[in-house]
Amino acid sequence: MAEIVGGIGISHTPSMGMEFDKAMAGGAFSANWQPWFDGTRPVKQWLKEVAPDQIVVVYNDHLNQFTFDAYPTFAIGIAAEYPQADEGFGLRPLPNLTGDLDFGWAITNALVHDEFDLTVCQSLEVDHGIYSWLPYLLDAPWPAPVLPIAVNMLRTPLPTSRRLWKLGAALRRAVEAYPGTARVLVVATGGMSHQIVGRRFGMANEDLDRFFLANLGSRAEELVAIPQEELMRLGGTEAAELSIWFAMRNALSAETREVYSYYTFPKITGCGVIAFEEAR
Amino acid sequence: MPLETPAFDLSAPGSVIYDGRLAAQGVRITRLGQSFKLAANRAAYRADPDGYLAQADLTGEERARIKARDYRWLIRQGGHIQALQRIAAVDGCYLFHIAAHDMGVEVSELIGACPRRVSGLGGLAAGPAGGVDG
Repeated sequence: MAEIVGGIGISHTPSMGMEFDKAMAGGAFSANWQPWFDGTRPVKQWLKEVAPDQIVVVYNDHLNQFTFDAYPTFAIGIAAEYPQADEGFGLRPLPNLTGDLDFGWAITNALVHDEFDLTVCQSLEVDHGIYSWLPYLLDAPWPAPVLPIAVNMLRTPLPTSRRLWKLGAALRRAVEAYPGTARVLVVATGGMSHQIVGRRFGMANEDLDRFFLANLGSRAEELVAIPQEELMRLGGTEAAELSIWFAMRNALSAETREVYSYYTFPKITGCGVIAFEEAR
Repeated sequence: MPLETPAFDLSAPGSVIYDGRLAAQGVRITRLGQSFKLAANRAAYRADPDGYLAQADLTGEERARIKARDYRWLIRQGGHIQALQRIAAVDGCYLFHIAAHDMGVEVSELIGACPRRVSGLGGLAAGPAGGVDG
C-alpha cells in the first residue's frame, strides 16, 4: 500500500539556486545566504531517515514551461525525465529529475476522476520552482522520482487557497488508492513574503511568514480562510504562492507532527521551510 | 532619497495585479521576452537586435521600448515580469535592474534598501490563531 510519510513546505527563488552553485563551485555562500544553507541541513538529514520512494512536488512555473497561449491552472507532469528549463542564464550543473510513469498515471487517473481537471503533460521542463531548493535537501543523482504538479500563480484568476486545500485531500486519497507500495513525500513550494513588481518591490513581512509557519500545523484551516488578497496585501503580491502549501498540509493527517521549521530573509524573499512527519 | 516604506495596500504604483487586461495588452511583449529562453535566440538578438525585433510580432513602439529597456513602460504595458527577466538576462541583468528602472532609482540603492522590512499582521493577529502582536 502507498502511504504519505510526510510533507515539506519550502520557498523557492532563483538566487537560492545561484548561491548554491556558487558555493559548490568552491566559493562560499554570501553572508545573507549562509543561514539558509545551515538552516536546511536538518531537513536534509531528516529526509535521509524518511527515505521516500516518491516525491510529489506542488509548485509554480515562471513562464519557463508554459506560455500564456495556454496557461494551465493545474498541470501534472508524467514523464521518465523532467529536464531543467533554461531561464536565460544557461543550465545549472544538475541532472534531470526522474519520473515514475506508473505512479504518475495512477495519481493522475485518481485526481481527474476525483474531479480535478488537470492539464496532463507528457513532457515537462522544470524551473527554479523546484530546482532552486532541491539540491539543498537532496543530493544528485536524485534518490527518488518526482511527480510535478504545477499551479498557476502568474496571472489572475489564481486557484484559491481552498482549492489548493482540496487538492491536498484529493492527493491523499489518490496515494492511498495506489495499488503498489510507496513511501510518498509531498512537497509544496512557493513564497514566502515577497513582491517583485511595483514600488513595494523587496517588501519583507517576517511577522506574516512566522505566523504562517507557526499555525500551518495545528490551525491550518484558519490560514486557508485568509483571502489571498489579504496574503498579498500583507506579504507582497507573490505571497499568494503560500496557498500552494495548503495542498501539502491537507495531504497529511490532521494530527501530523511538525518536526522542524526554519526561517530567514536573505534579500527579497522570505525563505522558510517546515517539515511534518506522519505517524509511523 | 530614501525609499518609502511599503504600505499594506495593493493599489498602483505600489503593486501590479497581473490580470487578464494586462496579459492581453502585453501579449506581444511577453512572447518576445519568452523567446529568450532559448540560448540561440539570445545570441541572435545580441548579434542583430534590430533584425531580431523586426521579425518579432511587435508594434513599433514596443520595439523601441524593448530596445531601450524601458522596463517601467513595459511593466505598465503588460509585459509579465517573468518575460521581462528574460530580456534583462540578455544583458546579464536581472530583477533588481528592472525594478530599479521602474522605481526611478539606482540599482545599487535598491539593492542596499532590500529587504524592505514591514511589520504587521493586519486583522490576523486578532483572530483565534493569535501570533505576533501588531
